[in-house]
Amino acid sequence: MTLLLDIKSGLLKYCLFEDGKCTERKFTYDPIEARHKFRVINKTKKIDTVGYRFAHGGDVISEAAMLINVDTLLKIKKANKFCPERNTIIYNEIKNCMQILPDAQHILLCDSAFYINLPEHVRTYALPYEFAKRGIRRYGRQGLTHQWAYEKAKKLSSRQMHNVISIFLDDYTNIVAIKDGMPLDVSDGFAGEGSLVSKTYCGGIDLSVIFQMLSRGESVEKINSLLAKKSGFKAMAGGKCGLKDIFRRKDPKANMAKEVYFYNILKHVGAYIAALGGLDAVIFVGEKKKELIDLSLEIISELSFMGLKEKTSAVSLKNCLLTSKKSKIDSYYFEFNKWNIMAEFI
Amino acid sequence: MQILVFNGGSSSLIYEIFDVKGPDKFNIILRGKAHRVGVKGTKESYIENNFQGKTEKTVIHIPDHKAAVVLASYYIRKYNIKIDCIGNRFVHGGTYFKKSALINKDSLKKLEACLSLAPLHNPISLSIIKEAGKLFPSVPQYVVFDSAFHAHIPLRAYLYSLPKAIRDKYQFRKYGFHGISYTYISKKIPEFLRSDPKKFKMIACHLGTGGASVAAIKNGLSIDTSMGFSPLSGLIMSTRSGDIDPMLILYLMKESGYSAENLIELLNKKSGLLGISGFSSDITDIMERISNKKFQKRAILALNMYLYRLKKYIGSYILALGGKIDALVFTDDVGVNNPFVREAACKDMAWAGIAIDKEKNKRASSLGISLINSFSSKVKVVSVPTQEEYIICLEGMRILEEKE
Repeated sequence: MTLLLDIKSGLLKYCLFEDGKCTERKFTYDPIEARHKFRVINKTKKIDTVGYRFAHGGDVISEAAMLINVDTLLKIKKANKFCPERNTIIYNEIKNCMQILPDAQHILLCDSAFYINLPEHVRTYALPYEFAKRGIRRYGRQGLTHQWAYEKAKKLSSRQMHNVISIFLDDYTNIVAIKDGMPLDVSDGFAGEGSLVSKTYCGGIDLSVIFQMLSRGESVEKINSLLAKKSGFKAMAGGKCGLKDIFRRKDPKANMAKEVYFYNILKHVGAYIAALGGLDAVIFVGEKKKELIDLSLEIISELSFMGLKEKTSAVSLKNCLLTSKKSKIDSYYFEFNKWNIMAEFI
Repeated sequence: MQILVFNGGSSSLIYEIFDVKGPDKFNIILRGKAHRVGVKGTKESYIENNFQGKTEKTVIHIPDHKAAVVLASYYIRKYNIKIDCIGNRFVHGGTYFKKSALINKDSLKKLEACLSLAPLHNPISLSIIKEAGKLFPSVPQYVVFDSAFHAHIPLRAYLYSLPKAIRDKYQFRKYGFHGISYTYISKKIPEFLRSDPKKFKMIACHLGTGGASVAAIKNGLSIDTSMGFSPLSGLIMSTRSGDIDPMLILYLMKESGYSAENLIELLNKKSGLLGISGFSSDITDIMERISNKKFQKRAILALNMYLYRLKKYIGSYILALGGKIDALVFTDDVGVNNPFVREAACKDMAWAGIAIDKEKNKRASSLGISLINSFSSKVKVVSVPTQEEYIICLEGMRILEEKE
């Protein structure tokens, strides 16, 4: 049996994965409780593999899936600084589990590894070059998801797959341009938040906005929280404002958020088609929700000038195809399940 | 009609007197430029004047833009030139100005309110207007705004998704600039291509040696542009960074102790091409040194980044305009003088129906308008020098007619 672990805002989520079935549990992280829980589980059913989700391995972790041993554990420790609040807990939990489950194999599943070889002209910021030397560069989120989606689409498609755009539809959406299987560009930035508007983040805005607020005495902390936690859909739509919610809602405020978000995606897609020099496939990954599938179809219809034709009949997620047979370019919709994706890397 | 146009930069003042006889018919009687205005340093400030083909240079202390205006008025009187009206360029008109305006008590008040929106540009322009008012009290003055052309871009493009109270308090939104140039382009290109300007979609790249931007123009109106609340965002420019995720800037302040002043200076004056290359803010210079081993690596990186960002914006705006565009236009110094930049921007753009003719592109004159797409290209590709002063003059004539 496989045990999969992920941590978010102090909450440890774990999943027991067996024969394609998974059961998710979560609890507020506490090392002693974790020890106890996993020991008990191992007694009833032997855990042979543990997979740990690691969001940000910086320039240290370059493999999506890495077997953990004494050497690689040192690497992981080095990477803690890239996302200290999450990475440190995962690191401690790895040590914990290696002790209580010495016979199992332990595997690190790292999202940022997918982006480690982003071309230099893409990952570098147009700041004085010293910043690049100090490691200030663009990284990306959800690397496992996009890599998985690309591989899956490649298996399904009979066409060439040189230029692919992969869109993860989520409260914190991100978009990746993939050239021959390798990411060429991604909408995320240095620390995660990048150029796309999301549930509580403002997306790409003019930097002078920050300086205007500072000049009138606002603090860096306050601006930080304003841009990352109080903007985006929350500022535009208010109320219940996850991605699904704003596309379900019909009020003018939600419509405004929809409009801005949709246009944001459209502009990224256009930018990436130009960056790739063409388009062979568009992939969407998201929850199996009508709102999100409709949104994907709407995005495809904006690409009709390139020969994309959306399905006119109801979309079935069995074959994952959003485009009709006549379409010159295929588009896929893959249901997002974090644990399944992680399991496929093991 | 003889129109005096002032165009103040951060450390310079250009003044030009046009004799306008009708649309497209004008000549310049006198032009001059004050250099190193208000700059403290070892080099001296000076003013250059060109009258009837002769240039004279005078080294003189010019402590601020007011003093530069006084100098300009001295030459205007020396050559005995009559002035009918004075046109001023103003970068940021905020939400107050959606079109050019005559200077009067009311508009002056609004200009005052715009000062903090562009602290590096607007106060200079206002000081010029006030000084000119004192020196030419009976001559009507007007202002033309770089932001006005973009005043009607749709919400989806201008809105920053910040809390409404903050947006309102600071007037945060995308404004956009280079509007005087885009006004010219949006008139000139459909005319040149004999197309209906009311049914015409184009992407215009205003690539200057300092600032640079891209605009998506639909039926004569701007629907999006790469600069934002200030001229800092969008393309990679000579010394400005263009787009950077805002959280990185906050991170640098928190983790590395940068002050706001440091960062404003860094992002505006030390980033962009200069920051990446480490040796030059000038794209031609950077291209020339690619063959030099010492500079090669970072020269290539700077050039690639510049071109990549430009290409992404063109791609974005193709989708913003609904996929099919009629024209792709390059203007201003880099836009008309650098065939390599144009060729690179059009490379691998067959998906959008864009194909450049390499020979035509190389031969294109930097002095006139040229069609540089290949025969099979669905999109017309044009290189054209911009004529901002001409637009400022036209606006003056229009405003004075309205007044009468």
